[in-house]
Amino acid sequence: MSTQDATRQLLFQMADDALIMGHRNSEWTGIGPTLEEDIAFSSMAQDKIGHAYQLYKILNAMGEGEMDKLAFNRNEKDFRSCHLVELPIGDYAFSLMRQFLFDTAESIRYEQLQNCSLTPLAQLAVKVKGELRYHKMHADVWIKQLANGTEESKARLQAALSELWPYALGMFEEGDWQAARKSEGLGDSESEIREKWLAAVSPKLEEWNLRVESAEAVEGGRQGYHSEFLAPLLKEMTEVFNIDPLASW
Amino acid sequence: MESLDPRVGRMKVDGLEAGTVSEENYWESFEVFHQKKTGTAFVHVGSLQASDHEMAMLLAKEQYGRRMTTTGLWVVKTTNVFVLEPDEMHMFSTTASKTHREAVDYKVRDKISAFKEKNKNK
Repeated sequence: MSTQDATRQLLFQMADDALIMGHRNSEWTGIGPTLEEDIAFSSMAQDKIGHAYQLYKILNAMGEGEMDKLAFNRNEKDFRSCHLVELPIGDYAFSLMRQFLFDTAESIRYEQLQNCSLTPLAQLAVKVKGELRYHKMHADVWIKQLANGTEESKARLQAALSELWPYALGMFEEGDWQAARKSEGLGDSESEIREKWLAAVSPKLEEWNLRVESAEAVEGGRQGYHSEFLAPLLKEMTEVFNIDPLASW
Repeated sequence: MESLDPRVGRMKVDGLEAGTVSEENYWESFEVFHQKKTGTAFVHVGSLQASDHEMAMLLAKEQYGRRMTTTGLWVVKTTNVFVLEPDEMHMFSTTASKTHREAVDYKVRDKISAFKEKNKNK
């Protein structure tokens, strides 16, 4: 794969993950378990969509098209998001566990991109550091509480983790962009990020007494093959835009 | 109406009608103090409920630090804030009239201006 293609792949992968994850986070608005949590998830949704915005902006500068079109007017098969972010919000334990798994990976990914060869991406990586730190902290604090809670909270956390683990592994799907990414200084390979991620999450999971069974990664997202959940999500997310795609907002 | 959005057909949960939350299942109250510029005073911006200090700080960041600049944030358990009772407030009823306590006779600014004026043409 050419460098341009590898760059595009990386940017779309990150932007689509952020957009879809932000959309899922926003689904807690109005139904969070407490007022503060409602606000917290809404804020984090805004942050994620902000990250998507910045990434689509870089893609737009590379000639990929209008940002609104990138977010609201692409086909399902053009998205490069992983299946993890597409899953419905589930119960609160599920969303918190997903946030922990996803945002730990995001933090690692952005951290090592601070030195990458694509300047706007490197600058963005420095900028979003604080926001990602908060997202990760939010999941950590909450899961620690629940892991030391009741039988029910522990059971729900474990169930969430068992269900999410194969999808989490799917975040690091490799493809034929591997070589180009490396040679052009676009940061670590997916396998390298996964190793760092495992080193970061495993001690925490152990501390929280949560078990992980080895599993097959659920892949396909990075090549445009998505879960059954993405199409309905896109339909709902783009509903307003599609009332009049030519309207100016 | 069918929808994937969980907010549609919003759930009704038994026992959570207004006024049914009891002391046992409510968290502790914390007061939040916010500083918006380094070196300035911390301002009491409100309170929140949380299970412990760590959670309180997390929520305070969200509730009170999401819109303005924040250079500092404190959370204190409400039970650790000692307040003067309303009926003790009469202690302060004559304070405003004790102008002899104010530093008004030492008008620093006037002295500085006079000094500058004197040295302007040197």
